[in-house]
Amino acid sequence: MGLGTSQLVDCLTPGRLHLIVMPTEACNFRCVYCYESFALGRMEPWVVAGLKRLLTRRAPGLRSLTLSWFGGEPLLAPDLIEDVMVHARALEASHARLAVRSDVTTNGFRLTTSIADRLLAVGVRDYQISLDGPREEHDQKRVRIGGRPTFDRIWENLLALRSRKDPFHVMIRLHVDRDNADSVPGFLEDLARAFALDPRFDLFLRPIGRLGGPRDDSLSILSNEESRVVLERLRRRAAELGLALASANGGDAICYATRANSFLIRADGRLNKCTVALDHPANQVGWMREDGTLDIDRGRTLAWARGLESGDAKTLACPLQGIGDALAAGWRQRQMSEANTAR
Amino acid sequence: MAGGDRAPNAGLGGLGDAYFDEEGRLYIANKALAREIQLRMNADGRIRMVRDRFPEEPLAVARSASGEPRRAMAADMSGATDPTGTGTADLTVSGTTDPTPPGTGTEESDPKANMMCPCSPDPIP
Repeated sequence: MGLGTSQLVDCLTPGRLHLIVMPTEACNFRCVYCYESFALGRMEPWVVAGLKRLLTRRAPGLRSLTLSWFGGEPLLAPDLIEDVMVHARALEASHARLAVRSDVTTNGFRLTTSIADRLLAVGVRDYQISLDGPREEHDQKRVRIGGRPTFDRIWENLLALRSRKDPFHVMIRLHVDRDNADSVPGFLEDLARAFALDPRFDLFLRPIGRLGGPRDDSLSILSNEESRVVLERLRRRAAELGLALASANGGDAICYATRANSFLIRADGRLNKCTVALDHPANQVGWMREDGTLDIDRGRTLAWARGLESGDAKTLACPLQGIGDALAAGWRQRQMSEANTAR
Repeated sequence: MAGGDRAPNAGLGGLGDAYFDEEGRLYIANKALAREIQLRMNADGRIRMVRDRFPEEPLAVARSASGEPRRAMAADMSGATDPTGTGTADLTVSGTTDPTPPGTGTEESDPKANMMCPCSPDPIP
């Protein structure tokens, strides 16, 4: 893949800012494949204050601000989302060039009508909600703390969303593995009956992967070749049923972690780039300060953007791959440069 | 860093000279790279480069992962090639050359930030 001008602008310009925010790192679910530790709970008040101040500082020079709510389960802290979004909307109202958009990645369990009312009121309009297949499969894997089932409540919330008149977008992320590969085609028919006629809903098929969780070894994941075959078959079936299919990151295959204007803000004020390798040393790229300034480790942050240097498609799509080597190379280059300077 | 004859769709090269200010904006210290980005961005007509700014070296104290205060990134900033400020480029949104109102133009092509990796990462290196 090649890098076009518009993609470079998108990835480099300070006129654009994408912040993935974890209002809480706690979660009411314990999905069997989850890679998160839940060690941090609700975002600390000084981090929230710092985030709002950062937005105020940056707003005059921004054209595009995207706030992506992630967790943990972000809807365990809806008040915090509202707090920041009200602030962002006020900035948008007072800066004519600024456009604010917001999305949330949620398990959907707490996305009740009243919570949806609150989120839509502050302009959170894009929702990603994951399912693991039909009820009997889903309730084996996407379970609450203590193992209780979740499917019926999520499905009920999805149907409640469908009954609304508001403009919004829901991407149903359907996970596939060896356990549910045979039952998913039937479930696609359920999804089609419920959502195929509503353009606000689309479907994203995704194989379950081993992302570093404690139960990775017990997962019955599809091999790469199986994934290719199974997902292609499921995509064809979904299309036949009239379901709209979403493509990863709008199809541009540049991860948000590659973008120099994208940061993940952890609940304790830590700055990361990648939402998967949360505790990887290379992912600790800095800190937010309470005054809204950022302490950014230049070398570590730029290591995530190295795909923009090489144009390599795999690195652009997932800079996590080889990040350790890239960081080591960066340090070597710097040491050589310093040695040359000393001479 | 290659010159202006680089193929239009190749990678940029040379980002090692870039750095961030205290509000997370990217700066390009490498003049050749800045010129190349400028050439590419000129085609878009929205961005201009400002070459007379250099962010103040951040000296504030931040917290480390252990909660201990630590110095900000002053050591890393020393890697910038031109600390005098004469060769620094700031990718800044132009207020005069941008005919695109908010909510249109490139905003329409903004990839959905929907928290899904485009691939399945292998186990962390």
